[in-house]
Amino acid sequence: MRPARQALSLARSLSRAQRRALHQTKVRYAITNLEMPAMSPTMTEGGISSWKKREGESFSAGDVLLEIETDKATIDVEAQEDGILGKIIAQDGSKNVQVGKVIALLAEEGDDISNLEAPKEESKPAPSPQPETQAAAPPPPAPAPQPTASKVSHHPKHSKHLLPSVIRLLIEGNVADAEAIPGTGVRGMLTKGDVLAYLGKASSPTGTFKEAKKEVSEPKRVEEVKPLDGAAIRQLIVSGLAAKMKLAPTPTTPATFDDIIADYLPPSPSSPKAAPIPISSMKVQDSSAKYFDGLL
Amino acid sequence: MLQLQRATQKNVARRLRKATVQLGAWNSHRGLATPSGPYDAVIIGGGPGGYVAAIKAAQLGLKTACIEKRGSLGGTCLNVGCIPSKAMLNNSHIYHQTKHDLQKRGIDVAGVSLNLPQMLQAKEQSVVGLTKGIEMLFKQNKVDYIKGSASFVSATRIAVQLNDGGSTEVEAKNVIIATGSEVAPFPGGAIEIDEKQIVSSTGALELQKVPEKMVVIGGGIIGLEMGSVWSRLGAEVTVVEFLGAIGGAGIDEEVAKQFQKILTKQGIKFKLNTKVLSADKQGGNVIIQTESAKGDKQETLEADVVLVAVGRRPYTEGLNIEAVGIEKDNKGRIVIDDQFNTSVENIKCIGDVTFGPMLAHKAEEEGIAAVEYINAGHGHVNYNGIPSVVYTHPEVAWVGKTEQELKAAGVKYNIGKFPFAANSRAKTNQDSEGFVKFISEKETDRILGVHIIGPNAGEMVSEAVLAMEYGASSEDIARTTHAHPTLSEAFKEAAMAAYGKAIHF
Repeated sequence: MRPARQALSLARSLSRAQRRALHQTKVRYAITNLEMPAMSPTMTEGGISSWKKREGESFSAGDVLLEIETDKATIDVEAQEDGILGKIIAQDGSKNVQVGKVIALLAEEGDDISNLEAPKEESKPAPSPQPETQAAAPPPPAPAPQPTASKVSHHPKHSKHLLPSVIRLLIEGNVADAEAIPGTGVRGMLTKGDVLAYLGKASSPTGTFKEAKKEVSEPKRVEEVKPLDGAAIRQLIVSGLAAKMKLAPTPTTPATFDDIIADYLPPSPSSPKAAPIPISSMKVQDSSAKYFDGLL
Repeated sequence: MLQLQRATQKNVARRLRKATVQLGAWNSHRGLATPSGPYDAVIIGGGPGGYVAAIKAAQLGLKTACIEKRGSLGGTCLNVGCIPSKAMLNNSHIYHQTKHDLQKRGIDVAGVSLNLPQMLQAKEQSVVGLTKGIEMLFKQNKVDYIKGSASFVSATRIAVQLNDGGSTEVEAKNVIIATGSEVAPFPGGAIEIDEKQIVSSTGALELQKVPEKMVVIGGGIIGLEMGSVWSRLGAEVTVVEFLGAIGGAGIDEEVAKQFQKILTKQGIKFKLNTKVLSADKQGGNVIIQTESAKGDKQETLEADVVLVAVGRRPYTEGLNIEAVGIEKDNKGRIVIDDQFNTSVENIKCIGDVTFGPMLAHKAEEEGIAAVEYINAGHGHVNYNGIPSVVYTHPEVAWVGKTEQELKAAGVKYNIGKFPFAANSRAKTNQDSEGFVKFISEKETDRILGVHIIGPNAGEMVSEAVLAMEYGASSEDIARTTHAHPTLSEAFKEAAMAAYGKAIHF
């Protein structure tokens, strides 16, 4: 998605540079015409719902200049480059403005815009707002904002393919940034439900339908068995031998004399096994000494 | 400069060390190899699940073998199921149409007669052609085809009793069990299948004579398809079904009703809500005792052939899976998790022998997914998008949820229906029975189920599966161009009806 966007802007700036080169050879005036853009391939005319910039106000690339009404939707027109809104020709509320008709004059920073007039030869309605028509006109050598169909597209842009229902909803819902909607479709594609849920027209991307939890009955695992390769067999043999070689575990507590002879002593009535618990080693020695004394 | 050199030397040394370690590991690996070497994947069963898995595994670079005891690949589906039954359905349809339908289309034919041996031979030819085709594919993809019966010695070692005598053992790092299913006997064992008079689907494809009267026990997909075949060829067919509707599990009630109406018009008789008690051979015929499901009414039917089509059951005979500790459930299905793992680490299981609908295409998808799990650690089967098709005429096909299921789950939905009688192509083909029915979620218009009864429904349902796979809404279908004049326009119009209105109805 990122690279695609970059590529797009690169292509844009390239064509802009080319156009600029074209303009530098052909144009003599500092003023450029803003024509009614075609917001869709089929659009022939549209209305101006409102200007977002006043005459004389400066703007930078990306600023919304005006809002255009088509039979399908209301769409913002953005400035492609920095400049000043020189003169508005088609005022707010203008209806049925032909595509290609000049609706405003744009100037560059520092230009005198006190007595601007629409150039006569440019006012013929040309429904193909291509760079050539502009070049034939007397626009400025300055970078000229040219809101053509390819720039301000009627179709919402998205890094993923958009379903027909989604395109309709994005336009109708005036969704500017479709990328902000989380997609639940295949590999994050937007479904109709996703947009409806985003617009608050559905309770969730799947509405009242809830994906049934799959009852997965996990099989009881049998201990892991893997085919033995040479290394594994060798490992087993060596570890087997090593286990055999290991000495008997040494007792954790040091053996006392009492421990050792305990098995040979007759069971005492107090404790079935010898070596009673908390006797101090001195005492043990005492008692055993007595026993041996008797024997000897 | 000096330092740099030293660093480089160190690097070289390190690299060398690494290289030797790798070399050593490789050597030890080679050292163990049995004469044939351990396989990366051994697939037991060469049916639609198994052979597809085997080819896929080989394509992904795994050393693969497939063990099959039938003597030909393709499993039940190719040998005694889907494929031969479609041969019989198609040819019996042509026979029936030639006899009863051509005249009104302006084609006079005389002396039309049935050559059943030839029809059976045509069926046999298509089967042989296709099974041999899979053998070719095995060769092309370098899958080792072992003809014999597999039996587990250990989790990684399988003994094979070869079909042409002798035995062998193979070592496998991974095993996929794809042994499929077999015809389920009549519950309680009251009816014994002899494949001559009392037949299963296998025998029903081999009848050497068109029966005068045929009773089909079970009104599911197999029963209706085979009943259709012999009905078209002249048999008087009665279908006895225990449930209150035909078509089997997952069919939409509305479709089932329409389906029964159409088949009844074609001459098949139905006895629903009826239980078969027994079927006994008497004097060359079979006497079938039935009882209404409630138990209040008894009836005796007589037929020269009885088809028992009451379902199929998982098949694991001779596999010795108990020896390695593979778990089965109370229905004999091998228990797996959502990655097709059985209770033994390196053994996976797919298809009819485990959970889910017993469908060839479901097994195929699982086969590929299971191999992908072995190869890459992930795979996917969308169980909400598995279509079912009944290849009668008209065909019946569906995918997703039925109206009843959604109602039970409390889901709000829209219905869009379009009859083929309003479709230009169906009308001109003089084949316009049935309808397309869309069910979409009410708020989001998302397609939850599509049910089709009509000409070519089986091909048409693929569009619904694809749409559902992509989470499409009925509007998306409705805004997609469908060629004119085609039957698929009925599909589009039903989608239009689901979220708005159809144009032609």
